Amino acid sequence: MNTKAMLAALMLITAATATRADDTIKIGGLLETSGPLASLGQPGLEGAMLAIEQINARGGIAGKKLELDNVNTEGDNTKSVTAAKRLLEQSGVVALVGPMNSGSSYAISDTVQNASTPMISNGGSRGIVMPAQDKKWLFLSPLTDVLVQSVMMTDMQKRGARKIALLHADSPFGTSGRDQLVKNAESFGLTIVAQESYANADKDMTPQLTKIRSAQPDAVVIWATGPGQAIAAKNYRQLGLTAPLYMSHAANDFNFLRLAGGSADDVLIPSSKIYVIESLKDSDPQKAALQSFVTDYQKKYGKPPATFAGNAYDAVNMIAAAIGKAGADRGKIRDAIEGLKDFVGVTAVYSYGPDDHFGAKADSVVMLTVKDGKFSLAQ
Amino acid sequence: MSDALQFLISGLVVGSIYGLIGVGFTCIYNVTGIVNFAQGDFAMVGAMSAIALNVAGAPLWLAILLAIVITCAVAVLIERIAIQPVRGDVMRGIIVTIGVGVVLQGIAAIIWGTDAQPMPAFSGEKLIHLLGATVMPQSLWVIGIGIVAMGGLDLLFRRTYLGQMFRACAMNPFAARLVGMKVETMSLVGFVMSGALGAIAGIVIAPIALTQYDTGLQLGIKGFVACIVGGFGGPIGAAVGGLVLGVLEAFSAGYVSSGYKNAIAFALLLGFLLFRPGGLLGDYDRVRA
Amino acid sequence: MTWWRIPALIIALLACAATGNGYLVSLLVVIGLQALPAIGLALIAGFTGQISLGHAAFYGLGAYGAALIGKWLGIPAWLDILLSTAVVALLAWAIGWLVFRLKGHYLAMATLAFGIIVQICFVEMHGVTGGPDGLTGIPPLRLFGFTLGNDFAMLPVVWLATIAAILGAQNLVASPTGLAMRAISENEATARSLGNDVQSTKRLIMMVSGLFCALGGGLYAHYIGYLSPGPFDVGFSIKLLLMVAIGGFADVWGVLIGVIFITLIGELLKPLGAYDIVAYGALLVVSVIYCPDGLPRGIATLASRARRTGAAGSMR
Repeated sequence: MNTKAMLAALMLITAATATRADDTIKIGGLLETSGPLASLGQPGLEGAMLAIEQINARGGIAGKKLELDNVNTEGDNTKSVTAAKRLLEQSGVVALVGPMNSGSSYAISDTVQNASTPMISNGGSRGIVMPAQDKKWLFLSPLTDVLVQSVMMTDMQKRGARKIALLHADSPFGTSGRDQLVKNAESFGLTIVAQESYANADKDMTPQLTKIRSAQPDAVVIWATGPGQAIAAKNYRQLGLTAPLYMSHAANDFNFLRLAGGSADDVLIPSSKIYVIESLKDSDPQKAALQSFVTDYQKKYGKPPATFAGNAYDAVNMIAAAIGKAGADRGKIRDAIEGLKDFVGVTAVYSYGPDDHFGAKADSVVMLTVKDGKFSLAQ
Repeated sequence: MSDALQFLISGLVVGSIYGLIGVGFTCIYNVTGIVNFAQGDFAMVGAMSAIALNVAGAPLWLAILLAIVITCAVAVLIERIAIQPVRGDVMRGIIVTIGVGVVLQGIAAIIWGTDAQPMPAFSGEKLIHLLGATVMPQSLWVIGIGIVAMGGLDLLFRRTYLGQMFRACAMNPFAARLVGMKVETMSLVGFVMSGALGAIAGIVIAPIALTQYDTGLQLGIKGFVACIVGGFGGPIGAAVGGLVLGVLEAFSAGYVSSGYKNAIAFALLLGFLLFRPGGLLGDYDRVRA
Repeated sequence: MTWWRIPALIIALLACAATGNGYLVSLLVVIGLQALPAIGLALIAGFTGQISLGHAAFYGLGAYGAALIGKWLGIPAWLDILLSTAVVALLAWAIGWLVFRLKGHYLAMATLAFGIIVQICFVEMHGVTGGPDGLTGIPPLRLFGFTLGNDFAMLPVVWLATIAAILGAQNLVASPTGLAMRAISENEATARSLGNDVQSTKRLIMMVSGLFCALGGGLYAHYIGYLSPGPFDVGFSIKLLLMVAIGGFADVWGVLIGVIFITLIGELLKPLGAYDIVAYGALLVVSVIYCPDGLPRGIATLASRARRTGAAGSMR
């Protein structure tokens, strides 16, 4: 009886195998729409769906409709692997839009590589696509920490900072940021005088920041994601610290402004241009793309887009561009993505190459600050 | 020196949060013998409904009041549907309440989305300076409400008739029933109280700690630890346990290692369980195998 | 009565593999990998009545242990799994020696604390575990010169281990030790008065339980090729407990059904979108309340009751 029930359940799953229509091209999504990282995956999926809609409204790719099949990976490594296999084996997708979190992206990298399918991951950790020669099939769409930190540290130099302190989250994003900062600070003439961390579920970072206060840094960096960074920013102000506060590009997010409230004022953020479109020069290559993205997103979802929406939006558009160039063949799509030059996205201008699977270029990054609860270009 | 004071303040605030959640645990445990792993989710439901009502236009005090009522209603519903059938069974009780917590989280994610939500502080954000340390007014609210809730509950349990009935039902439900008490009603009262306490805890910490649909589990675990450290059963114990845990975490983060601070807290907890298993204020015999 | 189950299981597995459906096979591998720790937990929590909220730690230690031993000593994967399993089994015995002074909620708390501490160590020991970034490049299992790089190759290995665990657990439960386990679960004082060495039985079972977990973890590490602390958190300990509860606590085959149920239900509920978590939690509550002996037996009881009612109706 038990075995029968098991067999029945398994057959049910087999029966659910999808069939493929000829007039559509299918790409897979691995965005986490529930679980602890849903606040990244949900806007990501919305951005991806918007891109699909815009592409199909323009008549699709060579007359074929583009379709996104997203499987919720819940931010869980094992589920991400199963989900990737489900898409690769069952849905017959030609390319993947990867998870928002680095852990899941790491976890599926072998599976995706073995299936010889191109994936543009939305994880922020450089290791996912390093070294590019081995990670032939994997690309990144977000800004990488090395890129934004170089802009951030140039800004620190400009403001005359020499001693800096760091508070980071114990997440792949946070520790990767720490490692890169530790590695590169010296070349910008900066010394790290205090280094603290917190766990993602922590509710109070006052003790860590108190220690940082005692080290008397010229500037402080908080490198984290999610609600934790808002609590940290609040605690920072509560302790009366006055050194300039730098935060990661994960803080260029309306939810961060909402959560941190007045504490967000004067924070310095190296970021994409998504929230300062009005201040951009008309000659800026990204201005038109950003305007169309933000207007259409607002129209479709009734709210302004989060950064993560822009990441997945870019990923879909780059895959579509590659398919348009090379046709719906996994290998050719990969080569076409690697060959993308000066592709104008909303997060960055991308140029990939055989040694560079990061794509984003440094002039895509600007320094933002917050004035009266709004992002503006830093002076 | 001012650093140590800052650590202490941080610890007391966080500890009061743990304590408040822990006190909610004792209300249910004292009558039903069940550890309610959804206790942290009560706090989440309370905070989220207060925020939603406030955003919808209700003044803060009204939003808070309504949110407490809503959470109590949720607690009653849960008691009737899920807790009655498993009374007194430790393992199934834990699993059922975990399941209830999952359901509450799922519903919260659907209603309020997965983003964290901020809540305005009760009395502004102007800092108070104290011997070189700084305190948020909201922190004083947390500590104050913590003290009032725990003290009040302790008085209730020890000094009132209702409280004595409560304890009688927990010690020996069978005998309590024999002398004419309605154990089921008491259990319901326990859930209402713990719902209210959970909601209050969630609301008072929301301006500090931010709330999202899944903050409940972590809070619940810390509250549970607070109960154990304090000796399971009494509200004062839970409060003391919470404070000890909070202060310990703050000082480990301040003086030892911020990454390991949770591990240090839990290692001490393990030591506590093994060498003084009755907790700071509890008795020893109830826990030995 | 139950001799046919293992052949039936093997036939079912072969049938699934024969479909050539990679997704289905990968699900089966995952089910097998989770069945090992679940059965391990059932021995201690189900049969012996000692709750644990920290079993994910043994699974995680087995996984990290295998990956690290393999990396440091440069030995083949099967050997590092065995070594890691042995070490973790000893550790489980020692943990049992520590925590089994406690019972009830206190035991739950102590095991929970152990699980959390181990998980924090995975996160914080950057130099060893790679921290939150995790360990990459764990080589796939190689047996008799074959590299078990895909799901179809892993399937027989994983399920061989799982079936061995099922048989082992069944034998253990049927042995005199098994009787002692059930006696402890029913009433510890009575069990002791009958001359059982209660504590050493608990420790022994904890060791076996840790062994199953670590074996599953070691296989998992070489299957997935990448380890990070995330999958070994309290959430996984709770999930294991749920599998055991759905399976009816003291029922080895029931637990296997529990694992299949929890794994498949997550996949099947995905079309519900945001409602999947709600449905999952509700199912769990309902099944624990209304099927105290587990879902399979609960359904069987319901079915037989329905049959009886049907028969009574037709007689009238």
